[in-house]
Amino acid sequence: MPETREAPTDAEIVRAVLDGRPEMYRHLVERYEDVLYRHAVRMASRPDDAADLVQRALVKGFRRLEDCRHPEKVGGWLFRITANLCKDYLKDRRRDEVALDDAPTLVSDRGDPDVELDRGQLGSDLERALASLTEDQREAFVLKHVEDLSYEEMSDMLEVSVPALKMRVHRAREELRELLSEYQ
Amino acid sequence: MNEKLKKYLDGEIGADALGPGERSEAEAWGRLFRAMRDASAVRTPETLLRDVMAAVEEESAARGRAGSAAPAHDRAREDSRGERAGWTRALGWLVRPVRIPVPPIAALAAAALVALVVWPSERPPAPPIESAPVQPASLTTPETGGPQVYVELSLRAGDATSVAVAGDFTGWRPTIELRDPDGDGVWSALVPVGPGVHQYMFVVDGTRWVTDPDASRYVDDGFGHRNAVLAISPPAGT
Repeated sequence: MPETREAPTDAEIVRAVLDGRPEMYRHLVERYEDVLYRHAVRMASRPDDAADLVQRALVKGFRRLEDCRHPEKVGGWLFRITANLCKDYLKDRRRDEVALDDAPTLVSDRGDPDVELDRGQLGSDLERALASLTEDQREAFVLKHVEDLSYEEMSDMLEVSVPALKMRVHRAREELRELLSEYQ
Repeated sequence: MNEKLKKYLDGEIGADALGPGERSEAEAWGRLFRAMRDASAVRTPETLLRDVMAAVEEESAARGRAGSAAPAHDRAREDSRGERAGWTRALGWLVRPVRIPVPPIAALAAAALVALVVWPSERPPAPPIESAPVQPASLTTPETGGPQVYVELSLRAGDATSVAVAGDFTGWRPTIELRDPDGDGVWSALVPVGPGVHQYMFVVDGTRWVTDPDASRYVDDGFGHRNAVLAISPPAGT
């Protein structure tokens, strides 16, 4: 009979890395790189920058792995590191942002939004609309409506209360509604 | 924003509770959310894993040089790892990078050589796969770009619906699929790998990691189980 096992748990991987097997960190990277990268793209909107952010987050996670209080939830912990780096990135980028000027051309009822958006890069108009949100609002909006998480999941992941998250999402929607109003 | 619409978007009430105007606005929001999802539906760069692990390796080496950064439990494990380290050193000549051009036509000849290295004479006969033509593995992961030889890997897994191989040569992603065209329960593939010592496992039905029962060598995988080891010598004359 072949020797079999289920994939190692997150806690087992963390323990192996902390026990001096750094190469085992690969399992965590493989497990979470997709979800982290997707979030980074949705926050940063630039795939190259998103890849850089996730790489930095995962390396930072490796360096600080001993600080992970709940190894069984290391995925959420890595997500928080990534999310914080994304918000820092947006703050830095905001300094260089130009003011929102052109009317948005995305998500128009007149056309198929799938056609109007370039795959892999948030449309520039929508991106500018999103850029008007605070980093916290954008993060909450993306998690709730793009990544389709529940408020409870978001609260667990970000360690922010559900009412605070609801307020952030609500304000984000209000802001976007105003900016995109003529297309709704 | 209308309170009902707000509750709907927050997932507190269903669409049935909305009036026609609210429903129209809810649909517009839905289009926006879908557009954002589609716009960000990009594949994770293949280089991300490699770059992260290169940084991890560098970080680990720096800790090693610093000496003090290694946690106490690292040192506690040194003895148990000594055997493996010694074994790895003994095969160091295989691990050292060697750039050897292998023309595609030489692949089968190289595979024969590999079979001699991988399968010792006392190894039980290979599973009966002669009746089914072995399909070349589909390589969907980046390889080293160096010379490669083809190794036949097989696993008897009668109840499986899929079998793949994951190893250091695939970045530990189960991307090389084995096939069982005649349905006899023996899954196999010709797997392209470069010279050196490689570790691998089979992944059955996408979740169950299975150690190759026919491997000639094994190594601790760090989780209390064993990875199969594949030692590929450089093709003759190089």
